[in-house]
Amino acid sequence: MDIKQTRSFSWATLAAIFISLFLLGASFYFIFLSYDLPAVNLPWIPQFGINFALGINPISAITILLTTLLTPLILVVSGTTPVKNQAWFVTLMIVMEFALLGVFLARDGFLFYVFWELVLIPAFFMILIWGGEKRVRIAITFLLYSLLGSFFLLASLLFLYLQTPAPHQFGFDALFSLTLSPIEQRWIFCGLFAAFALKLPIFPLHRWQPNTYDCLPTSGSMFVAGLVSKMAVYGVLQFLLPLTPLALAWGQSFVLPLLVISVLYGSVIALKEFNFKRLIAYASIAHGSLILAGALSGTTEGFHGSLIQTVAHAFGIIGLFVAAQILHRWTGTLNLSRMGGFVMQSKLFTKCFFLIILGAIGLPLTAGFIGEFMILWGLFQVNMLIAGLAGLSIILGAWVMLNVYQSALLGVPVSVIGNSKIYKREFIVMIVVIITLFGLGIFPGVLLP
Amino acid sequence: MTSFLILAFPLFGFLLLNVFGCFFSKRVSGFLASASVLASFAVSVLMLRDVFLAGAIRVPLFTWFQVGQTNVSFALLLDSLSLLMCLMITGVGFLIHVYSIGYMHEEEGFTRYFSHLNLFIFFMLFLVLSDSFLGMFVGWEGVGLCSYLLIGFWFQTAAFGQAAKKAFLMNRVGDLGFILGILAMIMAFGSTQFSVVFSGASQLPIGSGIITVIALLLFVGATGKSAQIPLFTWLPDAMAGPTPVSALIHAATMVTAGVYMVARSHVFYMSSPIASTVVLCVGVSTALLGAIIATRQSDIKKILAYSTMSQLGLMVSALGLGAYSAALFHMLTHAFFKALLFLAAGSVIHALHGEQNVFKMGGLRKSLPFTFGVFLIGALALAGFPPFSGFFSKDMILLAALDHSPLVFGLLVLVSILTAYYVCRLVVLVFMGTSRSDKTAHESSWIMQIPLGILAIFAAASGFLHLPEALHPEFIVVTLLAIGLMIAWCYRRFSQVQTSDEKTGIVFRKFYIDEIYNGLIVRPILLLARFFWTIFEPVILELPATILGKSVMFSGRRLKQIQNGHIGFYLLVMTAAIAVILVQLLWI
Repeated sequence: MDIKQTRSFSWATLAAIFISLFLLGASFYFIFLSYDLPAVNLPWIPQFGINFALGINPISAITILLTTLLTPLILVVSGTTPVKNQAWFVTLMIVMEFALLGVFLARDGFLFYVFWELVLIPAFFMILIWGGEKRVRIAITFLLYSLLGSFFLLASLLFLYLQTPAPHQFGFDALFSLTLSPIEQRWIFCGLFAAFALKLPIFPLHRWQPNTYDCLPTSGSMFVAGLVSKMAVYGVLQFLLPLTPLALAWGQSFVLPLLVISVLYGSVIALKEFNFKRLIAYASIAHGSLILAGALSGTTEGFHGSLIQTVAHAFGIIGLFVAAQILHRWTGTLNLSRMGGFVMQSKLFTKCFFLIILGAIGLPLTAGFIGEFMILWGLFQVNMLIAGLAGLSIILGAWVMLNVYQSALLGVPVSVIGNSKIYKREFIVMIVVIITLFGLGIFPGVLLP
Repeated sequence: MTSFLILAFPLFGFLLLNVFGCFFSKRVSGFLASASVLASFAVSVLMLRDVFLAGAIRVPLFTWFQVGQTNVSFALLLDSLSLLMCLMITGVGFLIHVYSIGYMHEEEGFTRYFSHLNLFIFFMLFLVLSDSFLGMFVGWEGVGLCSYLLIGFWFQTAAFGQAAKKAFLMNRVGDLGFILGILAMIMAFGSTQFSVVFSGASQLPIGSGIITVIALLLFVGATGKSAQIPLFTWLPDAMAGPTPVSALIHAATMVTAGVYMVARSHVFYMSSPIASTVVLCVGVSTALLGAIIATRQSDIKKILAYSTMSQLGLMVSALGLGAYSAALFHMLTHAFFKALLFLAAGSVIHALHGEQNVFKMGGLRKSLPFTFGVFLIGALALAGFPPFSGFFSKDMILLAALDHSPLVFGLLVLVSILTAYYVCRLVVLVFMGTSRSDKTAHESSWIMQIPLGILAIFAAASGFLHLPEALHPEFIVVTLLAIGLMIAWCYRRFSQVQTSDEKTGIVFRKFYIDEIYNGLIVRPILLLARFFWTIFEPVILELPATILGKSVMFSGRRLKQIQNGHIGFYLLVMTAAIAVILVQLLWI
């Protein structure tokens, strides 16, 4: 590795950061300043009723802002530990951002599906090129799981498409104005839920995820964990809920128990996981499942709670991955049992790390608390037992996160083997994460209507 | 708006020390931290008159969030209850801050210590000043966080970190109950604000199911914070923290949060006989269990910790009896004498360079006369020796128990007798007889002695703050006699003890409750995690994918053999296929 490259941004990273900042500015402009949103609607394949339709609604506005805000942060962090062929790596990230924004902007079912698939390609190549020793196997697992989800998504979309009055239309307006029978809604519910559950992922469909998080370069993991998984939440909020109102109560009877099992499974297995990145993966299975459970509670509180928790989780996980990257640089390992006593290494890092951990625990005055509380509130209205069981995650989650903090930072100091450096940019990113988490925790009204 | 300053000072102190702490000398940080708490105390005193005149003052701060019709906002509520708590927290808190300047002066993390202490005071005040259950919960979690940080203050020792984690997690178990209680409350009344909730609750008939559910769920939270059965085992372990922390958080203030919460929501408990009975049972059994375990411990701080648990049990019993003012009165006197006992114990530990085993002390009355004096006052107050403060508050609780049932009264008297026993044993072992230590003890500095002196005055005299309408001379005589006999007996029994002969036995082992919890809860969860991690995840979950993959590969290999490149084979297959088609066509 070239030293010069580590000290400053490579031109490619810099260019990518500029592109992402431009996108950030554009999304800010369109969401906050321009009240008259330019709705794009061009015919694309008119024979099949497919349009190139883009638009923004309140749900997509939040996910779009999340994407454009986090991408520059991720790119800034990625500059500190460049991988081989960094230029290609950041290019793939920009492509991924582009595809993600497409997913959130699309107002046409077919276009949505195309962007949904487009996200896979850069992610697949990232694993295939930078994924370490077992990269081929992991990349193929990732692809197969994702394609299975895509199959369910495509099948559901085609079914809906065929229900529209002739000439068939893929536009959201056409799809949402359908009146489906309860039985049809149940099929759609199952199809879409399977698609999104594989993407998030939830137990027992998560086998691709810990390996993927582990093998990718940290900034790649951030992208997949922080943003790509949010497509699933977006899908549930944007499609599943409005399309299948009559199947919701039926679906809840098996989906909510499954999600609660997923929450508990992710938290429990994380107790025995010592690889920091895999631990984050398991913890985010728990968090993600809770988010979906809140969304599927079908209540206003659960709905908003899942949105807030989505934002909190995306920021929080980036903070955790930054910490993982720093600890990895110091020790040359991700194994938490081989770390320890780093409190005195850098007091500022200790403080930042602890605050990020508090955000992950969901202590009051962090965004995680508002999210969890409102999700539990939504679940409580549906079923008290489910809410109580899901609530166990606040105990188990705290257990997991305190384990991480204590085994990495407290106890007898381990000598630093690798490079003992922390970059200013890493601090900046961590501090942005902390400010966001606490800011939203104290003033969550920003994200509420 | 002045009442807002009560909160603002400690928060400001925390921020100042946390951000600019590196620029301050130890003396300055200690001074700033203490001053912020003193300022807060002064504001509380100033507010006394307003609250007395107005009854209750509500100061809205800001809207936290709003969903649907439910508006959650932060507001402060100053009434006699919250102001009493404020005075206790800031008053005792200030003295403990000052004491800490002396106690901690050699520590490296001095500034960190004081900033966390200030943050604790802030959250504790937030807890008692909030006018809604959700606001209270914010403070509730906040003090739990500070407790975690301060128990694990000496972070190099992994065991202390474990104790801190245990405290945090055990409290989280209670917090889950609290959260569910809050949710049930929102479902029932559409708000968590005290005035709305309580007026809603008072309109429901006595014994209605929802009130009982809410009351019981909230009480789960209280058992966590106030170290009641079944969530008490964190408290003795929490003694890993510095002694002033034990005095402030784990004796005088935080652990009384559960008592405060139940007292605050007495409307629920008064209209739910079931919940009150549960509270009473838990309180009495905790009081008894704590007192029994305290009789056999050898660590001076652990003895005091179990005593705290027992006294908290006494307060909770009083809550269960409906004697709310008695519970709060005992909470106040207990804050004084238990803080005093802890700080005096800290003095002893300090003097003996960290020795905590009472069997390695002895005879300290000669070398530490001042500490002995104040410790004795605290001990007598704890034992309930008239006219020290503990006598009056316990008297009130016992009288309430007598009205309720002879059984409860009998059990609480037993607790009091046990209390007198372990207190006398403690005093005799530490201060009487001859020294069993090879270290020379020396009296601590004036900055530690002044808070001790002030607390001693309050421990001795605060009983007169709330004199009962009628004093029962027979009570006084019996108590005097009983405690006098106890002192004499303990003196005979323990003053000449040479070494610890009580290292074994079920009581010394705390009835194996820690082991039982470990075996029944912690170990199974970890075993489950291990099972998931080693077998379930890589083998069983992988099975469907493996089978699918293997079968695809297998059929691929088999089908590959058809494509073998022999023209003859291809011709054979082709002919056979044509034949089949022809046959089928002819058939139809």
